[in-house]
Amino acid sequence: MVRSLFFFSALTLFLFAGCSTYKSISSEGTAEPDPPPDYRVIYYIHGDSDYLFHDRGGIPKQADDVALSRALQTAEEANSGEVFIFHHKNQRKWAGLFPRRSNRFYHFKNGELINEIKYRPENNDESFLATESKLFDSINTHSDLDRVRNVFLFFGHEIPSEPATKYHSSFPEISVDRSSFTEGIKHFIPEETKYDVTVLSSCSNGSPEMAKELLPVTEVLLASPQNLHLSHMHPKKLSMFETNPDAPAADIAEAMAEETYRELSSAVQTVITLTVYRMDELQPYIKNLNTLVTEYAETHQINPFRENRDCADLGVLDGGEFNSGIKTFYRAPAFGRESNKENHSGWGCKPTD
Amino acid sequence: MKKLILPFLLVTIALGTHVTATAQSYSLTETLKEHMNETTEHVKASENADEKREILNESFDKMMKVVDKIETKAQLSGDELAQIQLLKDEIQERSNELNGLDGYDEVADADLDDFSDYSQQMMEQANRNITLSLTTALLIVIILLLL
Repeated sequence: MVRSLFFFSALTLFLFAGCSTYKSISSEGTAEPDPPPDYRVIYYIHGDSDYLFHDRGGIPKQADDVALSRALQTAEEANSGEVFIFHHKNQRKWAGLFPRRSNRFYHFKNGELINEIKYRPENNDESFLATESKLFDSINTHSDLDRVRNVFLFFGHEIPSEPATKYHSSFPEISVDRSSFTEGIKHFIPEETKYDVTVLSSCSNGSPEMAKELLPVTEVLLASPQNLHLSHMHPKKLSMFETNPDAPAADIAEAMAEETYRELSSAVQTVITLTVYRMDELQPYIKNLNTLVTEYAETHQINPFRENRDCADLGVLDGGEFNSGIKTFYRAPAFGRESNKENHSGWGCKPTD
Repeated sequence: MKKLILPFLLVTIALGTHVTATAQSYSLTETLKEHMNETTEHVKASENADEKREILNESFDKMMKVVDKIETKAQLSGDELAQIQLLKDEIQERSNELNGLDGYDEVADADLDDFSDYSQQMMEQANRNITLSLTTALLIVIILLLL
């Protein structure tokens, strides 16, 4: 009888312990608040879907693991910065019943790993980035952050225009769309401030709609108007925060775009489109441009699942000049119908069937 | 000792449930990516342009058969059916380009390795994730391996 009681007590304790959504793996933090860092970098790497690819040697790889490896490397080199990395992975369960904390949160200060935490979303239908925001708050010891420069990097599949079903394979009810994304990333910076740079390492998010959505949140946006092979925007040039701390946000974004362009040029046969948007220069025309995109969508049968095309080729940009504040790094695909296309407007639009 | 039998059975059933649940869901997109990777490796290993074309054409035909079967056999949502249709369109487009159909110039012999890479990269960068039941997944394996 005593042995059974002991067994079930132990089992109950195990289950309750398993119910907690966070579990620290390592923590080097102190109770005393540190002085604010020079800059902060926040990564969200999505791996809760199909991200399989093969390198040119035919070796299978997961794009999110590659992105994580690069993020960790930049974090270790951020000697005067603070880096937060959220890696959302496929949910696993103990014995098919008890959800495991499959996701990882890494927190670096001045190049040192301070916290590594296993976690899972608190609720199956919570807002996008809700658990990540709570985790962030739980370890954020700074109060004077208004002058700190901030960068947000998103790695994943295209952020859809409308709430998508099954964006997360394991949490299909967590709604992910442009609006929930924008609301989610606002939480990581003080109110009334903006990100210096937001990087969307995803397909087809270099669109007028996404630029309009992010205009109040970021000074500069780096995104791909069309497909971006393997979702791999290269973060190496974040090192400019160390080597040239006063570099304008647009220069840092352009350096990242150049680095990514150089790497992709030697690795892929598909199209490369990387665009840096200086949001203050979009302000005068972004509303008008969005009206044209909406009118196009209403008068044509656009297919939200198709990959983007150049808005200029669809005639969407015929109603005005929409190239101020934009710098595009473009290379045509080696094959396909657009292999002779020489330039790109920097704006991606959904085509018809 | 007898008192431990019930908990032991519960754990065994739970583990069994886990294995079954895991085995019931297969990713179509991952399976096709693996198939396309094998195709690319075979194309690059071949020294003969005609053989390279044959390998690519055979691969496109098999994938098209797989997708056709899935469209009729599997229970897919509206979104998944839309993705399947796009997948079919893309395979057909690659096949047309390889063979110089539908307004394309035929891919030159010297470019077949690069074209194979291009076809693989187009498939791998697409934003798709379609999962299938065990029965349908077995059907795919049969088509890809035996036909």
